[in-house]
Amino acid sequence: MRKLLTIFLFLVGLAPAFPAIAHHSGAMFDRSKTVTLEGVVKEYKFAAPHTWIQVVIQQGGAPVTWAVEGGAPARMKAANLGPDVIKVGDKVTIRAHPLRDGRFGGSFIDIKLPNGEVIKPL
Amino acid sequence: MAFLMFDPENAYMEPDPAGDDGGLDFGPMPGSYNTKIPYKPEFRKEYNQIVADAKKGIVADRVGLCEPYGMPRLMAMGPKYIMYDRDMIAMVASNEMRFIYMDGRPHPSGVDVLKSWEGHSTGHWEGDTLVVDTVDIHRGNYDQSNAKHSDQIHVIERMRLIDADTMENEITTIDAVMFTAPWVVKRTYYRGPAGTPNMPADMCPPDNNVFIDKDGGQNVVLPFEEEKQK
Repeated sequence: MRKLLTIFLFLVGLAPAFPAIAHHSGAMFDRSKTVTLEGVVKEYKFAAPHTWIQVVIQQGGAPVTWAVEGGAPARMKAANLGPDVIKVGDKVTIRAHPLRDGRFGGSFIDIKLPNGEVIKPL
Repeated sequence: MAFLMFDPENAYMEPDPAGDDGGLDFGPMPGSYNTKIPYKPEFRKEYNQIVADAKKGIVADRVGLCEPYGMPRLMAMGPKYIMYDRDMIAMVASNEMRFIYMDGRPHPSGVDVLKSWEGHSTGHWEGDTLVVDTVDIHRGNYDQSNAKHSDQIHVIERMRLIDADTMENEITTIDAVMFTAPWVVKRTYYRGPAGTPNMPADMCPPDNNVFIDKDGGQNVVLPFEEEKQK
């Protein structure tokens, strides 16, 4: 079989470095609102199709875990947000659009790392 | 960022209240819709309701529940890796694959009909244009605006290179159940860099975290909720 002859990449005008293919709609998140989560990284799940960062914050005097859904692993890595950069125990500040239903979850906007650097994936 | 609607020319994109999306790409915003789908009145009404519900945060696009994109939506999604020999063309996109039979065989009929997500495709050349005819496709939708199609659609594609590195695909969809007329859209694809690319490995994991909420919309299971369930 003569094969592997042609590769066509992606679409019209928009050329992100990593074609991000959404596996679910973002409608459960309220993009008109932003929450700022200052706390400690509990887990960074670096897996397809979407990454998840769990961060423990102080809320009303008690520790509360929030889960923030990030982009695809390739995209996070391209933004220098691989698992070697966001580590368990790190003190970080994450901004996210919260879930509409009030559970402690959100979609990732950007992160301030322990060294003060703020990273927002393109 | 909002993109990947099936009909890029006639797609209305709802303004994004957040301005941009940070790390998470979700395709069209709630409220986005395709303006030129030739639906019959009852299906237009249904689609308008779907778009109105999405604005309220209720989205039921079943791809979120790990259904494949299927045809013709697949032709609007992700990079395509195209392989061919004399009698068949194979297109890999995301984790799905289309086979286009070039050996002159007919579509199956009678008891041999078997519906699938990509359908049954036959192709032939008309000059420099590859004409592909696809039938026997499951019900599904065209894009994240959840514009639905029936399981009776007939898709005719006309693909040609408009320059060395650009392919145009004119996609005509006929839906005898839902449409008043054929729907024609054009999509353009650019040739990727030489060499074998890293193909996206973005298929749903075993612990897919999307579920349908009590209001009928998608929602996500948070990782610490998953742990509790175990």
